[in-house]
Amino acid sequence: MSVAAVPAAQVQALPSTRELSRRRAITRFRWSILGPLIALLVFVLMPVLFLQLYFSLHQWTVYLGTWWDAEYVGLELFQEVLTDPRFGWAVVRSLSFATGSTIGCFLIGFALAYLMYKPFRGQAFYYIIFILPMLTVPVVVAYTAEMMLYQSGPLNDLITRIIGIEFKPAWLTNPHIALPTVMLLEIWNWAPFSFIIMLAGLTAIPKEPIEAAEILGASKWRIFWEVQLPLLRPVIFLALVLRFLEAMAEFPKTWALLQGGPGTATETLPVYIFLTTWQYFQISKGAAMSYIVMLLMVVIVLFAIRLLRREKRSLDTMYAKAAARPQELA
Amino acid sequence: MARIELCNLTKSFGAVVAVKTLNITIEDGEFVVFVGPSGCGKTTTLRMIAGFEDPTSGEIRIGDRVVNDLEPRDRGLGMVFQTHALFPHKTIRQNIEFGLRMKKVPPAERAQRVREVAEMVHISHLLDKMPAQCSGGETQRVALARTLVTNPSTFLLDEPLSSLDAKLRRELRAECDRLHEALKRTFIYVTHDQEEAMTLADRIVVMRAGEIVQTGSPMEIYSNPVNYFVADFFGSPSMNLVAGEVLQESSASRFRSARFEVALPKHFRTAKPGATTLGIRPEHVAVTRDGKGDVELPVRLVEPLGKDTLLYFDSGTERAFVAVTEGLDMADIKVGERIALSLDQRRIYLFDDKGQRIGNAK
Repeated sequence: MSVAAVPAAQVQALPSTRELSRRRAITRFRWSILGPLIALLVFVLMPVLFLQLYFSLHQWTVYLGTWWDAEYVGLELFQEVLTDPRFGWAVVRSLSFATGSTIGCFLIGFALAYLMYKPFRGQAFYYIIFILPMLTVPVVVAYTAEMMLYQSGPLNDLITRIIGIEFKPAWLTNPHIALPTVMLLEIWNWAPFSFIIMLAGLTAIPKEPIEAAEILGASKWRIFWEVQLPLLRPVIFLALVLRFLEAMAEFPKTWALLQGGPGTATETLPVYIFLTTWQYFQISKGAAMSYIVMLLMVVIVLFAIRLLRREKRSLDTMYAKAAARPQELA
Repeated sequence: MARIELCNLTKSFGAVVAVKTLNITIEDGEFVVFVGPSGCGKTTTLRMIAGFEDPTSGEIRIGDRVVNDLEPRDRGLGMVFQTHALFPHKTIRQNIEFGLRMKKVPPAERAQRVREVAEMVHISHLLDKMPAQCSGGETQRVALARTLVTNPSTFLLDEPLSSLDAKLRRELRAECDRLHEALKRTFIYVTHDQEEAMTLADRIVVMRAGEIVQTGSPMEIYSNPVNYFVADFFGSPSMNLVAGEVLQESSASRFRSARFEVALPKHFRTAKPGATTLGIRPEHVAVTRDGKGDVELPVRLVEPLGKDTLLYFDSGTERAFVAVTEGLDMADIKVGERIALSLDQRRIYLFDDKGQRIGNAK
């Protein structure tokens, strides 16, 4: 940038000393911000990615020889992964887990935010309470849940007492319920995140359009539906996208609680990759899998960025201050 | 029908009292302007009438109904806000239509009425645009149309023009005036701009620190201010206010300040001697070049405006003493020149040390 700026500046008048020192300061600032990031990329991320690529193209198993002597197998491992039905199911599980928990987090987070966005007495107290789950370490969430959820455990007992009918779902051992159970834990754990984003979004909506709607005769529901929701669209997208990406990568709770079981009922992508790599020691297959998952995530992220950009643009035009333009005669 | 009464209306936010026992009756069809510096409680009052703020105590009556517990939408009012109040994601047509849709007016009638009001405020060409594509003036016209279309008994306008530039402001001011004439509805208008208040109001309510200082027609407020605050607030350029003292001598009363000594008219004979502020509007100060006058002051600044020329004199205080002269005759006066001024005796105001008006000049 600064390099490109020099010839252009020479063509025009010579820049003043003040202008030069300003440019230098901007350049310095830019590098001091970007420098560490680039270093991280070059010295940590890139080697890992290359190593990973190397592994995914060479058949290496930990207990069979050294990794630099591993046999080159081309794209064989990728083929193996892509034709592995277990991998396919892991993708399906991860996608449904992420979708379900994202929707759950969003609905609960949004509902709480809607209850909270107008100031009231004791707001800070509720805020802290609602945030608390997010501040709990996922592994702790998992172990606490394990204690709560075993079949004759406190939760089932409590529900049985309340409704007066025997209530005994096997939260953790029934293969049909196990994944939804983890999903519920994920929702409990991360709904606060959606709550914070939606709260910020709701408080940021200017109050005039809402009051205008109110005095024009709109009910609370109408105002929500016709004014608040459309104005929140960009924020909603952000909350959904961020949560979805996080949920795709959820590992600690699933692993600590069920290690992919019962059977393969909770074997999501991160769990399957971990199992392949560190339980079956198929480092190369794990690497190939990781690459495929990474590509999948890149596609999702690019799509998300496009969506977010479009939303941001529409937000910008919505709020573009008419006053910022020369005012033609009305 | 839409007579609005505020009885002992009070609003406090925590320890801060924004509005103090306000009492006023606004007649049906009247154009009332609440005016005062920011923080004087005028907007809070308007928002209480609209129903966005609950009064801490006191009553609001619309017609004969106490509306304290009614939702804003049930009060039959329309409101125009300062900024940002259009729905940014709806077209102008959808914006205007919104109120009718909420009242379940059938589509054909809706379209008809939208067309009518759009014509009325000259925005027919904008109907299919988005708010972000409209200029500031257009936006406020749309806001007016959106309120008009629901046919409210009373219009509440909260500084609707303050985000516009001077020219547009004048234009839309005329528009408001025209609408009031045409609709014969009650208008309650809040502004901090004394000029808007003067030009629009049937009656001005001057507020300060949560209380009404004075109510009256623009002319009354202008020519008969009850205190220093009102005198200072209205008029542009504002009234000359010179701190000094009143001397009661055997033959006459005099006013004396640092640079300045004038005889006072007879009706100030009863004024108590002591610290006093003299006020006189710039247009009541005559500038004479022949040296004959009540006082002689050095010129600090000359501002030829074309139609008038403003002369700023050094009165010995920070605030300049201003005189208005017609045309450009005085535009060649040099800074530092000493010029004689004569004050119109009938137009001299005096304010005591608490800012209250002394005597009643007529």
